[in-house]
Amino acid sequence: MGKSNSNTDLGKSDRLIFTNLYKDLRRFAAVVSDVDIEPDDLVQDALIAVISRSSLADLDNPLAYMKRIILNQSASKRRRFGIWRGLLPKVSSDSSYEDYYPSDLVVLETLNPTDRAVLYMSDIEGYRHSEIAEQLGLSEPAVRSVRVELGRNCLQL
Amino acid sequence: MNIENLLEERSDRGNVRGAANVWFDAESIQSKEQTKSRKVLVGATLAIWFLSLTALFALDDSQTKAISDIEIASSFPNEIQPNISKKGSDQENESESEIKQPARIDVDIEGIDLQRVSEPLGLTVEEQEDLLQRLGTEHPTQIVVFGEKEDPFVGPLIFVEVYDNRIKTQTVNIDDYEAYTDYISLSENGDLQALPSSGLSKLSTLDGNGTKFLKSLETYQYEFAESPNQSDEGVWAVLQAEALEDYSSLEAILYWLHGSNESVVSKVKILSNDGVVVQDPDSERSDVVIWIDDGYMYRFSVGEFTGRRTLLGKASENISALKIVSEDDWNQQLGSVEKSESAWLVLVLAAGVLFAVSAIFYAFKKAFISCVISLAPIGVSVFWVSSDFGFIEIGFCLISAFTAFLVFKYRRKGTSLEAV
Repeated sequence: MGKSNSNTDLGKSDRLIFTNLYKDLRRFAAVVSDVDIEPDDLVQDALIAVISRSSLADLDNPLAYMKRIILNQSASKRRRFGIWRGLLPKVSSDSSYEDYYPSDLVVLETLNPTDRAVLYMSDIEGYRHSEIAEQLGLSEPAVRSVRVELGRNCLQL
Repeated sequence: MNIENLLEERSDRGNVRGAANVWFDAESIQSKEQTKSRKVLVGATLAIWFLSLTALFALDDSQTKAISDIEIASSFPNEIQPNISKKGSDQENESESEIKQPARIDVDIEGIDLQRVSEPLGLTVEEQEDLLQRLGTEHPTQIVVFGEKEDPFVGPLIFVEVYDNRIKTQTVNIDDYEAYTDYISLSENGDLQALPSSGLSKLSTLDGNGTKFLKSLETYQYEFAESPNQSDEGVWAVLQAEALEDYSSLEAILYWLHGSNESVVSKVKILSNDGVVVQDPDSERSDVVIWIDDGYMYRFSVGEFTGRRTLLGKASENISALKIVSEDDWNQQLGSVEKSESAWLVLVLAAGVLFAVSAIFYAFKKAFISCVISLAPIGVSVFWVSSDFGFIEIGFCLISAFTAFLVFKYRRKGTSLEAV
């Protein structure tokens, strides 16, 4: 009886934690993933990966952990479908290929998920380089270097 | 549009399902996967344990067993007054009687213990003959034995094996085996006879295949060594106890001796019984001791395994090491043998199960390290069979289990980054 109560409490606790984190996670997933991937799907996959092994309540920093999983999954999907994505415009029979997104946003498509994550966490969420490095599992010099390079490139827009 | 605006625009893309819907969908999928993986995990683990236990019991049944009571019909032939007397009785008994198990004889040589007890094959005489026929082994139709009537094992012994179209001669206590013609000849009517000058007499005519004496193939073999691993160097001793169908101590030994061509035989006392020492014709440094006691013919030999070859030794010099022990002491020794023989198998099976469970654990939990480490007990198990380093086997099993536990606990804290 105690165990089932514990499991139920754990589920409620996890749900509460996830509800509080959902908005940040979804926005992060929308930025780091490619345009053909739904952000909620990425968040859902990350959530399954966490709760199938442990509990959100057990994590020291569930937001950072979930972000890292989302970033990894995004990079993995990008690698897996990279070839197909490259072929899509070429196999299109329509001679006029209409961009779905404004051309400025296409610039973000050229960045890899990690770069987009660094940019987003730095410019939108306001994290310091050390915090970004800790959350994403990168070294601080690497984060700084990415940020400087991205900032230089983005100034050219 | 600056970069912040681009990122803001990007972060709001897509269809928002809401936290509740995402949570509900995730929980449903995760629950289904958990149920499925749990069923497979439990089923596979149970199957592995079942197979392991089945193999364990199957092997246990085929290996050592406690010696059980046997009943054989016995009668005492009165063709020849045997010089070798049966222990405890000089009476003839022509009725069926219960013959007890082999005597509980321990070989008390320093450093060696009872390591292996072989179970009799239990072939009937007919099955034995059929087997030999299929193997192509030819038996003589009869074996005519000549020797000194008063004391057969002191002087020359000549065994003439009679086949359908030839004879073959085996000799004991004769320097030149071809000199048998100095002792026997063919009479005018074709019968074999001893020459008067030889001092020998016709002692007996034996069945060519020994069926008169041997109770099928009921031979118990006790092996004494320093360790249960047959490849380990060291001293060993073997005691064979062969059940006699037709109790005739002299003829049984004569039948056995007919295959020891050119041997040197002498008399000896063993455990209050009259016995013979049969020296290996190929080596003066080795011999075998034979005696009969209470329905069994015992053969005792010793040797040493040097790692490359086996050197036979002089059993006659170790006669004093033979001792009758109590039933309790004997059963205790048997129990130790059974434990050591199945111990290594249990260890191998445990290692195999551990590996299999870790492999399943890896398949569903991706604890790769636990899987890799568990490979070690399997490799070591093969090594342990031929060596005595059992503690390495146990050590690897413990390391594997501990590592699997650590990896599982470590991952649960969510501090490791895994590709998912």
